[in-house]
Amino acid sequence: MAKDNTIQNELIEISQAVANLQGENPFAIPTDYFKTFPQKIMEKIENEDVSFPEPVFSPTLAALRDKNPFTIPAGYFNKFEVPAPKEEAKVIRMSFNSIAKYAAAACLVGLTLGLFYFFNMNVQPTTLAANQVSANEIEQYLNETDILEMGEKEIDSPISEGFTLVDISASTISEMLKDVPDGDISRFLDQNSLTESNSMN
Amino acid sequence: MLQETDDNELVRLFKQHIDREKAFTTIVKRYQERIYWQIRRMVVRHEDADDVMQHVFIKAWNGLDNFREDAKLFTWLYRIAVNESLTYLEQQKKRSAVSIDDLGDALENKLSSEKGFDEKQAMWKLQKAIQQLPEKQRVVFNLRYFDEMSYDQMSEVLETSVGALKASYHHAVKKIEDYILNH
Repeated sequence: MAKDNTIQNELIEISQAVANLQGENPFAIPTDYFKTFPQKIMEKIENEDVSFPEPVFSPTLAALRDKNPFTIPAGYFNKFEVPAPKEEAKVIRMSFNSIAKYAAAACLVGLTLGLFYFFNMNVQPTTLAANQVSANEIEQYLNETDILEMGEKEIDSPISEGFTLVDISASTISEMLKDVPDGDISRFLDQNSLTESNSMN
Repeated sequence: MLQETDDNELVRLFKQHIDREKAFTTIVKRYQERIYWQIRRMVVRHEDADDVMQHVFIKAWNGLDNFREDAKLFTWLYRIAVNESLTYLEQQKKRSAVSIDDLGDALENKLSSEKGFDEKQAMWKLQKAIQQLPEKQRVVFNLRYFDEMSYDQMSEVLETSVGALKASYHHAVKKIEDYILNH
């Protein structure tokens, strides 16, 4: 069979050896195969279920699929008519939904502000007071308090930064220091320029 | 008489259930030989080709209602045939645990057992050479060499670019040449 010129020329360009092949069909087929095939395929389509099977998860349900228990009056679908509406239905706009949206938003904002205010009200008074009072005023206050509460001896003692005078009895001090070696106490007193007798009192 | 009716009209008759079986039978008669030989050159044995061809037309029956007619009916049928042939070969590979390299040998053996096989004859040698090709290259070669399909038509069938098809065909011819000259 002569090939299409374009295809033949293309083959010659790529391979003369292949172009020279006749390309005959060597395969045999049964007699009248093509005469009988159309009928064979139609019989197969008509007699067998040739649709792709769906997976059956429940045989019981699958068996019941085509069974309809409901009955209808005779001729129901023949007589069925959709009555034409007599008048146009009145459209009532439902604005409730938009009001509800705004109300919900307002509640949320109110709740957020309320919580914010509530937590801010519980701020420690000392912190608040500290922000409003200067350092000099605080020192003066402490000094005045010391004068009122302590004896003459305490007045003469220097108050270092970072230390606060606390009213502690001698017995309490002894209890606190009972486990501390004397050597350590002496060194501490030397470092802080206080006499041994004063510290023990 | 539906034999002179064009493809679009046959599809319309099928979809509208007007002489549905007659319309489909006409389609089968019109394209069965071309489809069959395309399949046969891929799978070699007649029994296998018959099997695959039945699958092709059953799929066509099931899918024709949804056929969009933006492609030609023949292109659509050819595409189904190519896919079914490749699927069949893939299943054969899995069933017999044959590797892709051995599949060419397996098909060559099938060729050897064909009636009238004579490896000295050029046409059998060509078929043996074709069976050595990778499956998709084999499809391209068969469509171009035996069916004389244009690259544009082939591009629609195989949904591959014309450039890629030309390259594939070129490689296929070269491999066949190499086989023929060395065997």
